[in-house]
Amino acid sequence: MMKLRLTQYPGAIAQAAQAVNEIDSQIAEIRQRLARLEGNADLIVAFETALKNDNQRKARRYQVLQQDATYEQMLDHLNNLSTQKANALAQLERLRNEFTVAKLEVQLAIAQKLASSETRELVGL
Amino acid sequence: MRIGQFFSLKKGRVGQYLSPRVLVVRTPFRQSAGEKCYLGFKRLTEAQKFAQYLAVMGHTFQLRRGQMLPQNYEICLQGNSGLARQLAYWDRADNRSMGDSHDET
Repeated sequence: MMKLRLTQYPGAIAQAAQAVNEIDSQIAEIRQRLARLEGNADLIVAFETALKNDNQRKARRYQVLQQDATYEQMLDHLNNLSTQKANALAQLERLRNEFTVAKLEVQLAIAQKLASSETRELVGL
Repeated sequence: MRIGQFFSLKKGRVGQYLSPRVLVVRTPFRQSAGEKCYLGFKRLTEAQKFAQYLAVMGHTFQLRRGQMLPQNYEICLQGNSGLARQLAYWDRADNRSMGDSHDET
């Protein structure tokens, strides 16, 4: 990956943070839609008074959710988004660390420059 | 009670049982009246439990003694025929799986 100049890091870090936020908002949206579907399944289960025990209720809930083709797709999408978020966070962390290293390198270069000029002054050059 | 068939109610209303526990009432020539769904329960506790889920989902409803349905208690929902159709679908599926001996609640 191409190394950035020191001045480019703040922009790149902001961009990476924004990417994380966008994925977060997509995750929140998917979770909301999933909660809606699950709430609907819970309603159907609660309406079926013929279901006698928790196992029957769980099986019915699963059955109801499986019947909705979008449920499985949404779960897959949520998994993908979770992976994307982890990668985006790793990228953000990497940029932050690179920025820190780049700053330290500049500080080191300045210190070395100062040290060498002081040495030259000491020997009368 | 004949599931699926329309029948006349008073004041221009038309009813349709989607299942033995789900009744949809429409007012065909009055747009403003909208439609109502009635969901029947044998026991109050069952109706109350269902009402809790309805409230969590943000639906507007009314729980009362059975008037439109043969069950002891009913929940009246304004609109939400999509939900009523879903509930009726599973209710009918349960009735089918239990055969004719099913005790209608």
